[in-house]
Amino acid sequence: MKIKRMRATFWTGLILIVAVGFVGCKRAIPPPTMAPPPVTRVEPPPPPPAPEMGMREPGVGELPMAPPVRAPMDIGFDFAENMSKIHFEFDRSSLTDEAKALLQENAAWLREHPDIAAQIEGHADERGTIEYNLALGERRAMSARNYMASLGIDPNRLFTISYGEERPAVLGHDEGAWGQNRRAEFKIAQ
Amino acid sequence: MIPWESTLGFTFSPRGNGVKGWRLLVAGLLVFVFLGPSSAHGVEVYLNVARSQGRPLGIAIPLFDADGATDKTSQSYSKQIASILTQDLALYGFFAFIKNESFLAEATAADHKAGKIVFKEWAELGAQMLVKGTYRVSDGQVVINARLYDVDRGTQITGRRYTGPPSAIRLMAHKFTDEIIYRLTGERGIAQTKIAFTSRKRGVKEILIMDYDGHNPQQVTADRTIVLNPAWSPDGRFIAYTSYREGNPDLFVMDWTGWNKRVLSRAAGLNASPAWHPSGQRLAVVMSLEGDTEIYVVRLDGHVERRLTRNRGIIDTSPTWSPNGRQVAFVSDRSGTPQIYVMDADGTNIRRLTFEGAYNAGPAWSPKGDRIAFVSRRKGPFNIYTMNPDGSNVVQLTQGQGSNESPAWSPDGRYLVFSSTRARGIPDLYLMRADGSAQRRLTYLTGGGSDPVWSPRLE
Repeated sequence: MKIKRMRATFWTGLILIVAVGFVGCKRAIPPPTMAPPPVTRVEPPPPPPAPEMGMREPGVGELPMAPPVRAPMDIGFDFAENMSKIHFEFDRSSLTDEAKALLQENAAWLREHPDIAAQIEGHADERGTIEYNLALGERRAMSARNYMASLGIDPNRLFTISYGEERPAVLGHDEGAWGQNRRAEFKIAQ
Repeated sequence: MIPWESTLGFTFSPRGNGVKGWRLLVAGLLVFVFLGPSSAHGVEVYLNVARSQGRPLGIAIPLFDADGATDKTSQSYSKQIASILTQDLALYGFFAFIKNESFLAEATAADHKAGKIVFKEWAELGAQMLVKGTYRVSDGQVVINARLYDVDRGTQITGRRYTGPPSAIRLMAHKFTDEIIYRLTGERGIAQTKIAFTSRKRGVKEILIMDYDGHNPQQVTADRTIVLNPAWSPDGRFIAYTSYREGNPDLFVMDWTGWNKRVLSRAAGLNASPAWHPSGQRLAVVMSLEGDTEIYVVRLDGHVERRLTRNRGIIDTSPTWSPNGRQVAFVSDRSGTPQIYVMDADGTNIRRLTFEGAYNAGPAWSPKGDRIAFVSRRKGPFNIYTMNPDGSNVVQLTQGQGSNESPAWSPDGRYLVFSSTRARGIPDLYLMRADGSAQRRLTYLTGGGSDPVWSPRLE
């Protein structure tokens, strides 16, 4: 299987020679050396492979899934005031009727603004493991992206990222907070 | 594929408390020598005694004697050493400590008066084992002589002399703990191991490393973003982890001291949940190369060697290798809820291990291969359980105090570190024996602690 992916080249102009191992040596603490923005090229996605297995969750994966597209590192994202966030049931990535209606509005707005790229950010509530919630956030973002692709939005305009349970919208440890944190949010590229 | 040479060249360490503690680990700093004969038959005798009687071994750890002039500071070393030894050894659960300080002082005085150890006095206190020692300070160096005696036989089991700066006293005590454990059990102790974990600070999460007993926490990433899933390499040299430092959850590897950070995987989508193969040459990782999360095996140069799971739209995550590297346990929601499965190392022969409860996740295969620790929600909150690698003999270890997650094994398989929200609603790290006993809080950091991983033995 050949996997295409973006490649980024980094360099740093500074080589830090670090002498570790000298007793009592007060080690200099250099500031982080930031690499310059990478040269990023978005490869066209390969054709989606044939489905391998039936889906258990309706609304997820019924559509051919386009591989995720990573936002170039030099792009920043702003809060998308014209696109609504959507919410999910616990441990679910399928779209409710309400979520679909909101995504249709979001898609309509994107159609009116063909030059704008968006990032869909998938989130989970705090319950469950960090790793599973990362995967769940990823699937929620992809679920929203797939649906918007089915509405005619070019999936290459839709970057995705999962934050798992790491970026709750609301603090709190009850269903009131959890329900708001199980979400996919939209940002627009600057 | 991302070639090795494309890795980032950045090298840095955090500001603030920094990494000065690493000095303590430098070889040659802390010198030890053998003191007198070491019993050759110690191992079988003492363990068998403890096991056959089903009783804990009585052990006395009186204050170490000053050897030469002392001041207030150096006098505190004596108490410190005895207290660290006691805390280290208490974890094992097979010692009974002689705690009465005046009894200990009386027996010590009797030794002084006689000019030798009066074993009869110690035996009367109930001690079968006796730790005695001296300390001396010269030229800013602390010299500790520590000995372990068999009280009934009146013989020395082992003796060590440690020399180092005062800041290395904890390490000296840990080293002698490991020596005691080695003599009494035949297996090396874990008092010199470390735990890597994540802690929140002003809205970001970074990796910290601390001693196994919670002391000396040191920050080793300064990405100022979300950093997750530290995984310690089997040889102890590296930590793999996920960081959002470039905006996306990518995989990195660093030296465990926090230096020499480089990219392992930077594909679109997830790059997470790294698990080192026991060979240290490859890792199972979770990526979403084709739009859904699957488990892949990548080499240290980032090359994707193999895809292990194939289920469109299904979550497959949290891989953990069996210690022989032949199997991988993982989490999948292919049944409709997250459950734990095991597969052969080539992705075949998948079997489901958990059937009870709607959420079983976070598997961690024990270093001896005999158990798998995991997180389950059955009644109420999340708790830690262990099971045999075939899913049988499930034992619940935590009892619903807060949400308990992320179990990770000590290298000897005797203990688990895990996170729990029991104290204040946010996760802190706790330690317990593999049977769930002796649960004890390890971290008292503002940002709490989560996602722990235990180092191999580093000495």
